[in-house]
Order: sequence, then structure tokens, then C-alpha cells
Amino acid sequence: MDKEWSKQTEIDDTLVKVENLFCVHGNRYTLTNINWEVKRGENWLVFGLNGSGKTTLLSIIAGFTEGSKGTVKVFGQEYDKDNTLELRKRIGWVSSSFFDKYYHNEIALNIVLSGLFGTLGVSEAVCDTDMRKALNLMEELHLKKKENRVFSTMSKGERQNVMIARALISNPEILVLDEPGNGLDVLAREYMLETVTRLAKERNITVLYVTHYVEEILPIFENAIMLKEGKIDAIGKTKDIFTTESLSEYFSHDIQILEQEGRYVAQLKAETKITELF
Amino acid sequence: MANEKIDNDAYIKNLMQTPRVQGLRKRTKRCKCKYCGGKLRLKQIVYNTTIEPRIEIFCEECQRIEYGVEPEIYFLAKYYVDAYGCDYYPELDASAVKDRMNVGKVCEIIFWALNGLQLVNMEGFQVPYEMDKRMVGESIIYNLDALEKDADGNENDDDEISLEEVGALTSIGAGELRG
Repeated sequence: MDKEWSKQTEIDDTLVKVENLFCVHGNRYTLTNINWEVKRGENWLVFGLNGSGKTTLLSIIAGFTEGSKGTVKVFGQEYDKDNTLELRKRIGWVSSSFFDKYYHNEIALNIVLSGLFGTLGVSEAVCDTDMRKALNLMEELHLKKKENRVFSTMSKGERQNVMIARALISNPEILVLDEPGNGLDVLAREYMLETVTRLAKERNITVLYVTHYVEEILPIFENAIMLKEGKIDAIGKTKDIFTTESLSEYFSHDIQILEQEGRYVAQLKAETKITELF
Repeated sequence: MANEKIDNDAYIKNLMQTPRVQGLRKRTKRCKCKYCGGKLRLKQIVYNTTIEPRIEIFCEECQRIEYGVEPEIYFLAKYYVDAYGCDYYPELDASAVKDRMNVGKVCEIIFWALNGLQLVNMEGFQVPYEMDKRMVGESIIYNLDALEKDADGNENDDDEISLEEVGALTSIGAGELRG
């Protein structure tokens, strides 16, 4: 009995399970044999260079794109034509590299409200409570009186905040942040990072945070997965992965990692010739 | 992985019967864009192979995903902005975009008020009414007959559903079609 209960708990605790995932774009593998498991309460950092497959992996987990082979289960279910919208509602997804392709002339408020439905647009009646929640979230994210602005006319930072409001409106269990710091100034980025920490701690949201900046690694990201050319280069505890040795190997350059109060700073070692990079 | 055939007619017909798509379809036939008053249509935004979640209401005029509003509310809002110079965004310079934003805002307010009075909901008007022709500049009379017709569902709801209706395989943005 105890054994069964323990097994059930283990299943319920696994929010994301990726097994043997491959993704092909044209004649190129963007993801190759990815195996990854995220449990409730864990916060993961997904690190990699441009083109390493970070966005592809996360967009598959968020249910907006599909892999070519392998399985992806979120909340114990594989995406299919019947459950896609229901599952998407439980995952808040912030990705300018995805949404910027599809949102152009849309109105900011409609984009935020679409998070309630797991779609790109508003699909059903929006109750008064949800409308107020959307406006409150926008106000909190410095978007007061910008609810009727056209998405493409907003600044990069404003668009990023619209996406964050969209992700939060449905009280997601998983928050997937795909390079949310891009385009934000230092203050806005720190505010965003503080918000992420608060959400993870106070609301117990599982955060999957994609970045290629080590400066954005927060103490709450205890686990990390590092991608390189669509493959897992390293997976495990952040403190074990983000060392001078492992990052130097990853970048094939002498990188020095400094840790200050739980935050990291990366810099090229002084003797590295910058011309080697080009 | 889910890999449905995109050109499966039976599947398309099936998915058009889902409550969500039925609801969206009714809105496209009844409502207008709350910013420009333009016609709405269903459109697929292609980004993966599961079709139903991709279907959205789209305003061709504004080239945007738009849920729309009852046409009567749009006319009232447009009239209010034009005739009374309602300006919710005084910080913005005068422009056609600003006018549309104001109309959109007034639409929200009118809808909110009428919805609070339970005169209208997302299914449309729930009571018969007659509009003041001076306000809309044209005759739009929503009488009891029209209301009953709406309550029975749109006249064309049982029409054959074609791929064209949902703008099948039409992509905006740089979406990729895979599968």
C-alpha cells in the first residue's frame, strides 16, 4: 500500500517528462535525444548559446509546437487535439521569439486575456474578475493605460511585460520564461528577476528559465540543463555546472565565473585574445 | 507526437463542431471589430499541427486577432467618440489609431454596462431593442424576430463547412507548418 502511494506521489510530482525527444527542421536536427524530468517545486535554468534549441524545447513543453519523435508529457499527459488548450492554460509561457512572429497589430489587453484560454486570441467570454485581473497585472508591470496599444508599436520591454502578464493571468503551475531579460534595461531586468523569485517562492510556481546570460542566474535555480547544438551538454545542479572549468569547456574559451551573493558573473580571462572569437 | 493530417476534411468538419469553434464562428457572423467596425472571419494561425487551438477570429481590415463586439455597441461607441470627442488617451497625439483606440475603449465601457444590466452577453443581445437611427446614421433595428432568430442559432449554422471558411492553412507571421 505504502509502495503504491509512494509511486502515485512520484507520478503527481513530475510536471514535465521529456523522453528521447528529437526535433527536425528541414534537414537539420534542432533537438537530439533530449531526456529531462522536472518535478513540482523545482526551478530550472535552461542555458545555451543562440541556436542551441532552447526555444524549440520550451515551445514543445508549452504545447505550441511539436517534436518529430519521442514523448513529452506535462502533468502526466501527452498533448493531443483534445487536451492541448487545457494543458496550455496551466503553463504560462513568455517567449518573444515565438510570440513576436504571431502578434503584430493585436491589442495588448487581448493578448493578456488570451492567456486565460491557452490560445493566441480571446476565445470565450471574459468575466469582470478576469478583466480586472488583467488590468491590475498590466498596471503592476508598468503598462497602465496601455491596454489598447497595438503590440508592434510598444517597446521591446513593454512587449516583454505584456507577455509576462499573459503568462501570469491564468495562475499557471509552470512558468516558462524564454529569455525574458532580452530588451529590458538593467532596472527592468532586475525587477523582472525579483518578480520571478517572488512568484517561485510565494505562489510555488515551477519556473523554467531560459537564458544565455549567466548574470540572470538566480539562487532559486538550483537545477540547470545546458544545451549545445540541440543536445544536452550538461544537466544537474547549477552550482556544479556553472564553474569556470565547465563553462570554459562549453564555450571552448577561457571563461572565468565569479559568484557573488548567489549571482554569477562571467568574463573572458584577461589573456584570451578577443580575435580568437571571430 | 501528435501528427494529424492537415487536409483531413472529416477532421476539419469535426473540429468545427467543437463548442469553442462554434462560439467563434457565431461571433464572426454577428460581431464587428471593435476598433474599425470591420468584418470578422475565422482564420488559422499556423504554428503547429493541432488545428483547433489555432483557429482565431481575425479582422482583415486591422490584420489582427480580434474577438469583436456587437455591431450596435460599435456604432454607439463610434458615435460617442465622434460626436462628443471622447478622449481616453489625452497623452497621445491625434491620429486615426488613437481614434480607434478610443472607440475600442468606449466599446468596452458600453459592453460592460449593458452586460452588468444583463441586456447583452457574449451570445449577443438578450432583450429586444430599437436603436436611435440618428446615432448610427443608418437603419439598424434589432426587433423581437431578429432576437428569436439569434436565439435559435445563426441561420447559416448548419451550412456545409469548407476549408475556405477557416482560411485553411493561411499563415500570418513567420509560422512554420510541420508534421
